[in-house]
Amino acid sequence: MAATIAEKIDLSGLTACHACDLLIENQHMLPGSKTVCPRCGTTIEDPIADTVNKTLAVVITGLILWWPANFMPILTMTIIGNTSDNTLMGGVIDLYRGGFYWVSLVVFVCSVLAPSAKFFLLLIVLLHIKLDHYTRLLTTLFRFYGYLDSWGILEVYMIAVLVSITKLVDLAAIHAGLGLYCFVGLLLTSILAASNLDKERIWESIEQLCQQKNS
Amino acid sequence: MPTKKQLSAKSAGLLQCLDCHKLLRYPEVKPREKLICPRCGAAVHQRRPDSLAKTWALAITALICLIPANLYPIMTLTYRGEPDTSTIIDGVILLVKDQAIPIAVVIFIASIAVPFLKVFGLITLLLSIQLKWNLSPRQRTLLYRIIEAIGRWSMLDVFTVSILVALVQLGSLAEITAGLAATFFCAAVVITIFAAMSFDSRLIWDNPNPDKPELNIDE
Repeated sequence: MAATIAEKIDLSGLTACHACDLLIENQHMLPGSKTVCPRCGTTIEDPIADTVNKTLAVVITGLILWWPANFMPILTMTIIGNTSDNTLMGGVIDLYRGGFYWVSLVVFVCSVLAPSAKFFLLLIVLLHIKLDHYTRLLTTLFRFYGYLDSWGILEVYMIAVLVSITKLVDLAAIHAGLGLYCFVGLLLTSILAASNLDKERIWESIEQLCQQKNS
Repeated sequence: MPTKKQLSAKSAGLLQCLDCHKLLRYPEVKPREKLICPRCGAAVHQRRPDSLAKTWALAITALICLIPANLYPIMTLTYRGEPDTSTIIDGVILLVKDQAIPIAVVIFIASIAVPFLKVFGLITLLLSIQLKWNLSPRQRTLLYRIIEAIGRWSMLDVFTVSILVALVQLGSLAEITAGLAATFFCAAVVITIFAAMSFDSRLIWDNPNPDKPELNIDE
């Protein structure tokens, strides 16, 4: 019986809720009005106007801030004339030197690798769409972007910086470094990039590019 | 409220790619043959294979890791030659004593409440499916979404350790080194994130009694 239904259904006007699998009519909503699953309440589609250009602008801003945010001092500490500072990468290196290989790997992935890779992957995918250029790698790259979503957690790192300041404030004089300002900028751009990215639209664009190439 | 037949993609003989959300027809396949999404190239399944077993395994592993994570010291501060080791809960108590209540609450929630609640939330979802508990599927979906969203905040303590270890390096004057709990805690957080990822929330909505037709009251 199930097979007969599947043969009759026209897939072009349909979509399914990714959280509860309910079949929903695809309404192709205009930007600004989102579709919510009537059964479980998950957002199905939230179209964003001009998503490629907006996201590309934010991604390029983020990439300018990328170097100072990762390699400039975030905090500087002074006790009786002795100073020391830390960078995003410095924390990873010091954990590794201290023998905490796994912790340093996780911190590296969550605070440096995943956020950076997300920016670079978005830049490559969006530029290809913007320039109407198709390569077979495009689908793999954008799929990887989706996998990295759970691991790029700069906002948590930001709170960790505040916690560290609170813990050390009685012990020493703490100053914010240039890296911290760039890091805040990087955090804001990563949030803006995620909120301006319409994944459904990007997948459709990639599919169109693929069909153009084949025809 | 009118009753309306609500068809899931699976019961209509369709399947959706979880990576790019494309809806596909379920083709004739031999058992164990791998299906690939034609749009994005990801492996597709009507339901994630062995989702419940994998989630159980990861949730229990995370729970085991949380015991040493809370008992062993997470870091040692050596200030003018005097070492002072502290566990996660010691850090919270110290902040309460220092009147830094908001930060203490944030750390308590992120590093003690969230990991345990996440594991117990996942176990509740697993049991509700396997024992066919009569809980609202909509609320269970919401619980799953919350579990997915809050998990990352547990990384707070691991990040704090990584900042402090790099920052406080003044030799005999003041030095902070990481403790054994950091490894276990980090493992617990990563494993709970994987556990939440391996859980297929569509199982919450699948009809537990296949003999009866799939009917749902439209809310």
